[in-house]
This record gives sequence, structure tokens and C-alpha cells, in this order.
Amino acid sequence: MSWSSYVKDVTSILDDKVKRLGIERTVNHYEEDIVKILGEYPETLELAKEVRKIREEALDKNAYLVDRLESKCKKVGIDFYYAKSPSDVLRYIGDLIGGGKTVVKSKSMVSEEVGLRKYLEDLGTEVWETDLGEFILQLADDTPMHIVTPSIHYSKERVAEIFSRKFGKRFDPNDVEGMVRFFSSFMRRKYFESDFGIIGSNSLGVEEPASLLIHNEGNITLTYNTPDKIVVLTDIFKLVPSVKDSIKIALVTSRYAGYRIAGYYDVIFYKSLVERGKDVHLVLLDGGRKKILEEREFTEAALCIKCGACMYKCTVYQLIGGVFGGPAYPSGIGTIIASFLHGVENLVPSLYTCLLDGRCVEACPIDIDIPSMIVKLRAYYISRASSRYNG
Amino acid sequence: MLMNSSYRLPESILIVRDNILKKMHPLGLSTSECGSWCIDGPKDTILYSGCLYSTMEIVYSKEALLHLVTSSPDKKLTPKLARMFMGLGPLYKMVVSKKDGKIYEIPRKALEVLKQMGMEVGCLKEEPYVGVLLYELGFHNEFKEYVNRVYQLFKKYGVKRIITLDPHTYELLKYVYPKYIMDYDLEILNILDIVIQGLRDGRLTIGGASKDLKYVFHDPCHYSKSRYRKIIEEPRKVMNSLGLRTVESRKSGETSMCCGGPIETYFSMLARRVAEARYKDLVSTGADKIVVTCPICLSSFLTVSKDESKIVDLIELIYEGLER
Ligand code: SF4
Repeated sequence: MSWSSYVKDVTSILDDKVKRLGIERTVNHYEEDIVKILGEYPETLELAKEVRKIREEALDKNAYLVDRLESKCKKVGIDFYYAKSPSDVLRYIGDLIGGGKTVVKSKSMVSEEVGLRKYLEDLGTEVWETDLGEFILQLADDTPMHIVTPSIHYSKERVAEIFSRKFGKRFDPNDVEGMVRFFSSFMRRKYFESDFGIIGSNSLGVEEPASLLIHNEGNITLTYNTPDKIVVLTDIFKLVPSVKDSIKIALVTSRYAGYRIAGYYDVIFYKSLVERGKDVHLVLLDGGRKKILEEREFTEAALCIKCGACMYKCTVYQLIGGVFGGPAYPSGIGTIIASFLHGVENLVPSLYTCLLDGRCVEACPIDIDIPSMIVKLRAYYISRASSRYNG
Repeated sequence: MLMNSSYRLPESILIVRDNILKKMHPLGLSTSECGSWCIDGPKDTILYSGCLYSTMEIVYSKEALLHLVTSSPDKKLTPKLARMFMGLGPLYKMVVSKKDGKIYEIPRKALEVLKQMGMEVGCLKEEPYVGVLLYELGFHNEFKEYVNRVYQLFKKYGVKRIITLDPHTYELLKYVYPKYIMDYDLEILNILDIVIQGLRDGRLTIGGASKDLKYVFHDPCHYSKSRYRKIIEEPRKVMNSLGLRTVESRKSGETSMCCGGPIETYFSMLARRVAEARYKDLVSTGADKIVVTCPICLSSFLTVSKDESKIVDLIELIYEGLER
């Protein structure tokens, strides 16, 4: 990667009217919706403050929670695997699933981060994204533009075109419902053929180990209910002491993601999966996150609950979408996190694209001071790279 | 840590750093060029422009020239050539010689307003640049050294109190400098507070604005979304006192939007797109005039609009209000 390929990406999205319109439409809706939602549920603001506290305390004792989760998982009878790096994740899940299988998976940023789908496909296993937005990206061989609404840069015309090409029959762009119906029935077949289901977690309560997942399409429920073997792939930041904490986090996350109430909030107790005869594997990724906990100046970034509010509100994001930020984790907050996952020297363009205007902070339920951290991160980068710039 | 990435900081960022360290200014202006707007000289209390108005006047009026170097971070100009355009080489005079213009005049007008209020206010004929780029671009070791030099200059001239005009200088002097300077004891005042106080106690009377025009205020980020002190109502109060007819933009106060200025130094192509988006937004309110209170915003919108009468700094309005 070099500056010129970054500048090319920036220019090409600035000039792509369809993509820009898609982003603009979503962003405008969001800006209107969030005002209404917070007006209707003013208690969300208080709850958000409480969530910040929950997250702070959980991060303070992250190492303890990881150990605790391991022993709880053993007790419940599921496999626990602590992955230091993305390649550990790939190796473990690759060995587990192997080739020639069918996998259904729900949207998960960690799987995006480690490149799981591609890896399994290369092993000769079929992997299907069960979230419609992700499914479109999968067919188009593209990457997500937003952490909650990954394919906002696709118009219905583009989707109809992609569907038509992939499935060899004509789809009418004006019949969105028809396309959704096709997708559902296509996916239903895949669920029943599947050997493995892969899910993530919006939050993970440790005491009675359970993942909480927010979704709107009902797809996740099928992803962990239909196959016999389940992989829960998530990261160490997601751990909180109890399910009660997860529920609070989920409410704040979905409200700030722009939903009055999401379609589904699934609390999946691993114990009940085991009791129903399922083979469950929990893969917990560090992948550089511990470093964020050690670098105290940047630890605040780890409080993020990934609601995506700051992205919708970001001035730069509104213009160039996910080109700004880390892979799989756009915008200013994504730049900070990704700097520790992939090395700050690889995030230089986004680090210097941030305008520091602070719209993100105003949007963030957790009140994370993103611009101040971006400035500190520039200094952090420069002090590490000083030999390149002096003399 | 092993740096294995092929990214390098854009050349223009390094030039800016070197210029500030060598000449105390991002484009190589001297302190006396920065202070050329000042006629009276120092007093206990000074009005300090941070050299931002002179700087943004150059950025605005020499925009086409600077754009050659700053438009995009992947500019492949050789460092030598780039440096020529940005204040270090033989083209130096061409770039930096600008001692008039809409933005340039603002500190003088502000000083006039303060004098009208009966205040004893001086200014520095040798005015140092405030250092905001060193800070924001991440050169924090250099920033520390630099602001101590600036502080020494203030001390040399016996300055005790500083009145600032713009959000960046205010934020840095009031909230950031103290973290980098031992025993920092300057009192930092914001001209908006002084104007409001003057209006309240009658030392300042302004007004008589035409009712035919509609004005929209563009909140600067470092006021409306400041982590230290949010300044949102103050400029609006002043606009009310002027008797202006005002409208609000869809993105105002805490949700206001950036003008693009912060990345102007190395990615002016994208900065321009931000400015255009914001400008469109402001114009869509139906306002005839856009009111700003930051020289960077002013320069950004002037570059997009090309119509110098469409955008006004709040200081200009107050100054005009004096004469009525
Ligand atoms: S930084 Fe804040 S607003 Fe952005 S995704 Fe995280 S929690 Fe949401």
C-alpha cells in the first residue's frame, strides 16, 4: 500500500455518484432518526453513562475475565481457544472445519478482521453470509462500508445486477421484496445443508457464559440453531461480567445504531446449546488488543461498543465512507483500534485524514474522545518513526 | 519498532514542521511579517492573532500556487521543488508577500473595536505563530520546544494578558500551552467574552444592521465541540445585538460540520470537497451571508465561493456596527 493507492480510493469514491448517494441517504436518515429515538427514549442517555462504567470496569479486569471465561467454558463443556493473532484464529478454525464443508455465518467484525471467509473458501469449504448486506458484499467481492449497515453504498439497481449475474436469471431492481424473498429461500437451503454455524458477539457475559447478539433479519437465530457445530468467534474486549451487563450494552448499541428497538436480541447461553447436543467452540481473539489496554493513552478506544453512530456523523465518512479508517473498522475510532491491530505505520493515511472536528464525540454514547486520541496517535507514530523524519 | 510500511508523511507536512522550527512560521513568514498588522506595539494586555490571519490570507490568495504542493499527500514533487513553493526557496517572496486583503485586515479591525471600548490593548510587531500545526500534526516534542520559545517572546515584551480572536489560538493558549510550559501565568481572554461584557455594561454599542439580509452562523469546531469549553451561544448573542436576521443551519451548535481546513496543508483536494459540502449546506438555509469566527473557516469558504461579500467574519460585522 502507498499513498497513491489511498488517494486513488479517495478520488474514486468521491466521483462515484451511486455510492455517494447511498451513503448520503443512510446518513441523512440516521441523523433524523437518532434525534427522534433519543427524544422518545431519553433514559438512553443515562443508560449510556452506566454502560461506559460497565465497560471501564470490565476492561480494568479484562485478564481476570478471560481466565474466568476459560474455566466457565470448561465447566459448561465447550471448547475454549485463546487466539493471540489472526493467524491463530485461521489455523484453529481451519483445522476444525477443514475442506468440503458448508458453513453459514453471521456478520462479525472479527471474521472480517482475520479474513475468515476467504481462508475457509481456499480450503474448499462453502461459506455463506446470512446477513443480507454481507451477502451482497460476498457476491460482489467487496468489503463492508459500515459496521452496522455494511452495504449502504449499494443501490437496488446494483444489487439486482449482481443477483442476475450470479444466479443466471433476471431480477427487477424495483422489486426489492422479490430479491429479499429469493435471498431467504436460497439461504434456507444453505442453513439445512450446513455443517457449521459461525456467530460473533455484541457482548459476552462471563459468569453464566452467554453471547448477546443483535440482529434485524432473524438470520442469526437460524445460524446457531440449525447446524450441529457452532463456532463463536469474538474478541477479548467483548467480555463483561454478566448477562445483565450485556443487555444494557445491547440496548444502548441498538438505539445509537439507529433502531428504536432491534428486531432480535438473542442471548445465547452456551450451556443450553450444549444441552441440545451441539458441539460449541469459543474462539477469543487478542490480535493486538492487549496492547491497547497497556497503552493507557489509548485505552479509552477499547470502550467502544461498535454502534456505528460516530461513523454516520463523521464529516470525512460522509464523503468517502469506509475508505477512511481501518480495514473492517471505519472512521476515527477504527483508525485508532486498527493502529494497534495492524501497526500504526499502516494507518498513516487515515491518521492524517481525520479533521479532528469532534462530530464523532458528540455522536458517541460512550463519549469517547476520538480526536484527542488521533492527535496523540500521530505523536505516537512520529516518535516511533522519528529516524525517518529527522535530518 | 520496525517500520515496514511504505507510507511516509507527506512532504508538505515536513516542510511545515521545518519552517516552524527554523522560521517560527509554517510558510516561512518572519515574526515581523506576522506582526505587520500591528502599529502600536506591546502593552500589558495584547490582542494576539496567532499569525493565523496573515497566514490564511496567503493560503487563500495564493491557493492556486500552494495547491501544486498541497493538493494531495502523494504529490511526487521532489522535496527541493516543494520547498520552493512553501516558503523556503527562491519563490519565497512570491508566496508570502501579502499585506492586505479581507482576512489580513481582521486583527486590525478587532483592535479598533477593543479601543472603542476604552480598553488599553497593544499588540506585537514581532508576532510569533501560535504553533497549532505542530500540535495537531503530532510533532509534540517540537511543539514543546516551540511554545516555550513563544512564551519567552510574550515574556520579553512584558505581556500579562492575551486576547484571542479565533478558536484555535484560544484553545491552545488557554488549555494546551499550560500542559507544556512550566509556571505558565498568562491570562487568556476571548474577544467574544469581552464584546459581550462590553455590550452588557454599555461600553460598546453596535447595531443598525439592515433587515433585508439573512445571516447564518457557521460554528467553528473548536468552539462548538470543544472538549474544554463549549462556545455556542456567545457568537449568537453578538449577532442578536447587531440586530441581524438569522437562520440556523441543519448542522449547527454541537452538530456543526468542519470546513475542511485542518487537512488543507497536505490534502487540499479533499479539504476542498469538505468545504464545498459545508458551503452548500449553509447556502441551502436561504441565508444571504455566512458568518464565521475563524480565519481557517473564512479562507476555506472564500476559496469555494469566490464571492468575498458572501462570507463575513463576526469581527467585521462588529466593526461595521461601530460606525453606525
Ligand atoms: S466510538 Fe462510540 S459512536 Fe463510534 S462505534 Fe464506538 S461506541 Fe459507537
